[in-house]
Amino acid sequence: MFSTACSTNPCFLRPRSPGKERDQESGNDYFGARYYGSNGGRFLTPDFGGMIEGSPDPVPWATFRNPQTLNLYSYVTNNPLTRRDEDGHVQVCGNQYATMNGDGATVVHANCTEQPDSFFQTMVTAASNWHQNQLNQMNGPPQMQMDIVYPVDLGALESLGESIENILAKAESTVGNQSVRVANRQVAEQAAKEWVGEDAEAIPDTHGGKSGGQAGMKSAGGTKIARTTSAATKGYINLVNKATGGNLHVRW
Amino acid sequence: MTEADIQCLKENVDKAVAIETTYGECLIAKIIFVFDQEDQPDVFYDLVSTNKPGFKQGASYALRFEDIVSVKPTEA
Repeated sequence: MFSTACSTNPCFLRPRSPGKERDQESGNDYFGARYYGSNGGRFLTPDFGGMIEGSPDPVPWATFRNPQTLNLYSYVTNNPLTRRDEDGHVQVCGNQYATMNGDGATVVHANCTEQPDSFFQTMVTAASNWHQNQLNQMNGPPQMQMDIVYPVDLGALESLGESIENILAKAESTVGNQSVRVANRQVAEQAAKEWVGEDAEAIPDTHGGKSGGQAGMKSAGGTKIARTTSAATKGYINLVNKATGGNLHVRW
Repeated sequence: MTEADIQCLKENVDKAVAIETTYGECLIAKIIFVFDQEDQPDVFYDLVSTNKPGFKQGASYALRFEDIVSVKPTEA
């Protein structure tokens, strides 16, 4: 068997290039945190940070930015030409590496390119704090936040959903209940106005026996109806075509 | 308002029905459209006659289902 030959061949009994000690009986290399199985070409145990007392992250060396690190058994993320392992953890890049101390905090010994996410988050937070401090020194602390009202470009908004032209075309042909989506309420209201026409009649809401807000409007001939709602948060307007029995829900 | 009342409204679109409301109004209405698909269903109608002042005969109004007590057809 190949594995037996490798474990008994004297050329494989020499210490590995990182200088780790090899168990003569098992053929495994001792890396401190874990044993490396030279026969299988992988570590015998996963790279769990939880094995370090007090570690808050069970897999501190795994990051979605580098899927290779998600293999907790691999040696230096399967890239031994440029990386090496100092202590049984994968975070080693050439002569630079990061480790975790007894409190679970990341200690960066050099500029390793694959440090845990927590390290990057710390760096981003530090940079953001430094930037804010610089601004405070120049301008003083922020006093108030002002609301900025931008002019609305209906043409640009239409590009985020159905155009008014398409909505009107669908309302003309809709049979039964159908639905379309638009960018926001303004586009829906504009479509409703164009649907019923300029000579539309308003339809008030009689909720509670009082004629309150506008519930909708209908065209002069009564065949086209737009139903709005008094609540500003309502997410739709109905365009009714009585000629076809259609009820198009224009949602945003 | 019962399911039968809702069905009565749907079957009488463009026809007149008698509606009694929770606030004491009895009205004759010509149904325009029934919106029963959403969370706040209501009915649009043209007002034919009513016992309550403040509403214009011939004008269109909206009435929520929750304000309706009963619906009766006016034609056999």
